[in-house]
Amino acid sequence: MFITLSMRALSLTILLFLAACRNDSSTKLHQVSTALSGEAFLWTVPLNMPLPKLNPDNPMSEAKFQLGRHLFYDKNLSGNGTLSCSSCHQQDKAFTDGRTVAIGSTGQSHPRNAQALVNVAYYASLTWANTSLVSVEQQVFIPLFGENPIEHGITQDNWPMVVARLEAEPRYTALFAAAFPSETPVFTQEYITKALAVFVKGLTSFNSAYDRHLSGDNTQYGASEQRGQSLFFGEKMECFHCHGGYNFSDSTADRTMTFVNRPFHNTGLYNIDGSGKFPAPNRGLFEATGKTSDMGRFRAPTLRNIAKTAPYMHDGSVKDLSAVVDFYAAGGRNIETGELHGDGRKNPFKDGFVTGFVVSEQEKKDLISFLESLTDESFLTNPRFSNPWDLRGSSSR
Amino acid sequence: MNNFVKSSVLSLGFFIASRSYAHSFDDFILPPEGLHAELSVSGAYRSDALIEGNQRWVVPGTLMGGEAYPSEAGFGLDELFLTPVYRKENTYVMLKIGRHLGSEDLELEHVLLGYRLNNYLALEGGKMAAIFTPYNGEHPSDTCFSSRRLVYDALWGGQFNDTGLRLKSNIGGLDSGLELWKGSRFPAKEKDTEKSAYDVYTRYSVEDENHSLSVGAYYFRADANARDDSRYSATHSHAPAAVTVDPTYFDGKVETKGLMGSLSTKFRGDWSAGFLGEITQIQQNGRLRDATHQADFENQTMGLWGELFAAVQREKFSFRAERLKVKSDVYGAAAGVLADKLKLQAMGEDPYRNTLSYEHEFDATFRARVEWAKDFTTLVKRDIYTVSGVWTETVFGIGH
Repeated sequence: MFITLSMRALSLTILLFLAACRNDSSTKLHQVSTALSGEAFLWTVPLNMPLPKLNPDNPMSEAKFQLGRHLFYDKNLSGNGTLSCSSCHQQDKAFTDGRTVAIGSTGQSHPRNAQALVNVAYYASLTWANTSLVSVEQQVFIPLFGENPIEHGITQDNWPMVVARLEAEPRYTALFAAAFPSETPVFTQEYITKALAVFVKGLTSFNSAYDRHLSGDNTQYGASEQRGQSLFFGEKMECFHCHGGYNFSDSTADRTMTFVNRPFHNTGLYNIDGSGKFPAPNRGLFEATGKTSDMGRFRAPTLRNIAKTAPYMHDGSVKDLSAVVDFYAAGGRNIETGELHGDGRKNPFKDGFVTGFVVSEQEKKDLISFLESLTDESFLTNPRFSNPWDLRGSSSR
Repeated sequence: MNNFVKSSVLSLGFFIASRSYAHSFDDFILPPEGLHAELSVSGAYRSDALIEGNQRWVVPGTLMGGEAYPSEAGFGLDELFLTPVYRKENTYVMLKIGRHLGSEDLELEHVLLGYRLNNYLALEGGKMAAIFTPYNGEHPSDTCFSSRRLVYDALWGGQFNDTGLRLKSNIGGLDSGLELWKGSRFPAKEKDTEKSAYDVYTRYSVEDENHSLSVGAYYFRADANARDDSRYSATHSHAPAAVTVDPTYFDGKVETKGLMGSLSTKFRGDWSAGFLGEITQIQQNGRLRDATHQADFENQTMGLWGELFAAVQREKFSFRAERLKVKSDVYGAAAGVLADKLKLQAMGEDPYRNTLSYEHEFDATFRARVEWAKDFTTLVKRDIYTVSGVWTETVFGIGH
């Protein structure tokens, strides 16, 4: 009798285990409430991502996006007709230019590296270090009309000439009319910046190998990437503290958030004369606030498409990802000679998470593999974000 | 999965109903009269850690908490417990002081006062481990493996151990009980309100000279209010400072159903063999929220584990298979954000761990173990080799 009972129990148990052997663990995200929010704009954002905050003064629309796209790629939108936004923000480089620092329409070097335009709509603040610049509409004015440094070089004097060049392009008439249908005149600074802002905010990227891995597709996500992911999100390297979250930046805002943080970090890149100083005019948030403790503090950029945006750091002074890993492993940078000499590792204003770590060659490869898995090839080649003037083979743009 | 559990419960009911095994009355098991105390110490060397560095340990897809800490690589003291027990007639007191796997501090784990009402009923109260299954109160030093069972780490915070009141009975081999809990420990969590938890259980055991069999079922229910992963909160004494995270809370209903069983047989000579196992299903429905986000959350996780063993004289070979089947739905605008933050994205494969163990008992007080575990409870598959030892001594009273 006992054996019979035992066999029944064992059989039942084995049946239960066999039934459990099928792999079917899953997590489903349902964000329909925002995806179908009635917005007249097709965000290229998957359902499992929140949508960016809205600017009530400049609602998103497809017509503005298309106008902004044309303006973005148009060299006529510069004082001397030689530079467009895309000169420094090239799609195949995740909308950077591959240079150490950007060069303006007059040949003047910008003190900073051109930032990637990836998920800009999700940034809590704009540019490398400005806590008060919180909308793309505000930011777009700076490269167009800024005088120090000169980027597009549009001034009060040459503005009528710029408008005349735009008016001469027949395609703009329809584009402006569609974007701002009930208002005249059309070629105003306000409308141009609004359209550019909508296009830039529409440059969203969430289709990397890592994103696909999270959705269960591991075809481009192997063991090295997984090990790199563990390192990235681990306390040994601390990367995720500043580059965490779905946008890989702690300076992220979206419409699900009530309160928004705008953090900035000093990573120990410089420490001139051991005083904690960074070279002017690249002193980070200090340039805006004047506070000593803000010396060298910059916003953590998104790491999405980071493999395509070399060189790195706010001044482009770190050439590739390998050097970036070495830099953080050392806990900062020691410049032994020259006018910038000083041990950045000992910068008194350095962020507490940049403490250095020991990394093996294999770990470094794995971490870089993971960072490379954040590349979204469809973003780099998406026709929707590409140069619209190419379609007609225009040589003027 | 619901149908699966229902059919399992029906099968179990049929199994019990079909028995024709007469069982004689057993006296309620009580601690020995007087004072006695037991000391247990276990240590281990592990070839690899469960996770890198001081990372936060979460089995992807689950909401973990409580005292479920990952094992680390290298040599370490796993557990240290001193358990004094005193009984006078029908009244008994039990304390358990020590540190458990993953923690660094000594703490008063149990303070239990019990009273046997009659030969069938006893009342116990205090800070204690739930006994809805006999495995909840077990520590690795009580078993053939140096790690806690995955199901308990992932679903019960290592062990459900709370302040409460227990009424238990034993009639003719049928153990049953009702446990009422304050609800202050994972997976329940009380904060400023009268939320609570309770469980009911029943088990039936039969044995003769060479065989023993036990089957049981339980139901646990809690209302969680502002439950966070206290392992890594800034105020938790065990949390490594660098791993603390801003809290994310779960508010909602937690319901767990489970079946367990064990079977062992002695053969001729000194051979014996057996099986023990458990299947449990936790259902959590409620809301996730942090300072700036909120999302509705539905989770159903099934946990299974089974252990086979064969022993001869002082040698024991064991195999343990463990598996979790996680299904979660997160609703709302912040679903992605919170799922990302809480590592709620399932891995695509079920998390599992298979462990092979060989144990040698040197004498009644000391045993050593060698284990090989194949672990896929994080994003990385690992082979972990462990050498461990358990020393248990009656330091006062019977056996001393």
